[in-house]
Amino acid sequence: MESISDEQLLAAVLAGDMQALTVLVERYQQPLTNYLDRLTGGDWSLAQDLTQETFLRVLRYHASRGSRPFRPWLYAIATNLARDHFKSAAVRRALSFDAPQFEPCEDERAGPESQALAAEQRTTIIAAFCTLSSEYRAVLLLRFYSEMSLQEVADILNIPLGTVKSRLSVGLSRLRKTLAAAEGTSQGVFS
Amino acid sequence: MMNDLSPFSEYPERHERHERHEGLTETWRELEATPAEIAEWTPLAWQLTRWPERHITPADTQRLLAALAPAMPAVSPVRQAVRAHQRLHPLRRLADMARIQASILQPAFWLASVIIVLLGVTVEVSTTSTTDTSTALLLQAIGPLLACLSIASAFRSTSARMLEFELGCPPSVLQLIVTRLVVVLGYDTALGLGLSAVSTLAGGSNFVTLTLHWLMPLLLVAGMAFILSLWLPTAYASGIAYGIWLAALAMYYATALLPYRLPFTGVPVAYEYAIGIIGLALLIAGTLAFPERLPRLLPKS
Repeated sequence: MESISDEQLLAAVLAGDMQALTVLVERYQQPLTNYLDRLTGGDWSLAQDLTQETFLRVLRYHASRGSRPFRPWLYAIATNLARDHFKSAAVRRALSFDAPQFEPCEDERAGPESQALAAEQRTTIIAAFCTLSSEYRAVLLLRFYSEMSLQEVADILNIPLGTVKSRLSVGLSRLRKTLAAAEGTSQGVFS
Repeated sequence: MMNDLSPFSEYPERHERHERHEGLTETWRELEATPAEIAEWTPLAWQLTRWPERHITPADTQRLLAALAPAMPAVSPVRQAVRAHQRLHPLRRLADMARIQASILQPAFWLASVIIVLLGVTVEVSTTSTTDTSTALLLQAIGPLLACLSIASAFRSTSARMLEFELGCPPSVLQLIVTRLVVVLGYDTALGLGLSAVSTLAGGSNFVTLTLHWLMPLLLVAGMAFILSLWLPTAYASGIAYGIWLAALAMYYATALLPYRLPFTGVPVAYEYAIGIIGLALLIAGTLAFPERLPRLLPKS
């Protein structure tokens, strides 16, 4: 069943095939939750909740997919859910991107000093990334983390291709400026 | 340039790094980025592609599946059974359909058909003057009788008020009709071939010639009965078709046996082929017309 396309799996799911649902979940739970985790500023618990809600909407509103491929449609639902979440006033007040907590992911082959440096730099990058608005974060993540084409990103976010390109350029420039301001002009993280 | 100490440079595999590098190059081309922008953006984009992932545990997956299970579309047992059947091999499905269609025929049909053939065999073997003409006449009379019985038995379901039930079944009406025709006419043909074999052994006649004597009229009467059953009850349709055939046969032989037409050698082979072709054409026409006639056949409430 691993070689079956997403669309075929969804058809089987809608026919009541629980095994097909398991395969579909195993295929997308990891990348989708990580995408939402990044989009929500590192809130893993929220990302898992949004993933669950995304799959529930897949089951409930499958008719809205039409002839669209499954993956962009799935990510569109997830992105819209995250966007709706950010729109609530309570979330806007409570949300802070200053110091999101990420699990350590050090390279075991590097020394303790290198690991400490890497951890610090990662926190800086992530914090800088989280200062971007959700529109820019979504575009950057979909293109560079989820490795989708620009056209797929445009389809997911329901925006013109030109807007995707513009947001990518502006997002990267802002990220660069934020990091430069944080690190100083002479010792940037990536220079 | 990439810093070797960059936080996400966990020594990616070479091919993975190459693919991502190509992806980035493509992106910069699409964005029409300047060399300066590429130099600034590449390390940033590279970090995003190498952002370390958190891992979903099997327990997370089980929790998610448990939460999704109540939202799964409800599928009725009938639909599940239909889907399970559709997953079978096409030949197996066809065999199943034939078995089911055969099961709706009453035992009397199978028995009566055998009895008719056995009577034919008995008459054929016990007759002292087993000329080719008499054998042909016997077969031409018995073959269509089998067809008459078959059509009357196979399509009696319309009058037995089973049609609504059958219309609700997964196979199309056309499939049902074809399957049913194949079952009953296949059975008749098998019996007829037995009769031909016995006649050949007893009289030394040609097997193919004998088979033509009964098979072609069988097809014609089956076709006529099937066509008539679109307008008449199947018992009447079968009876009328067989009656027409017997009358035509009697007229032909009566005319042919007139003294001035002797010596008579039976119905020409070309005629028999023509009869068979007409019968097949009627069967095909009836099969295609049957679904369109269904509204008339449905029981009135």
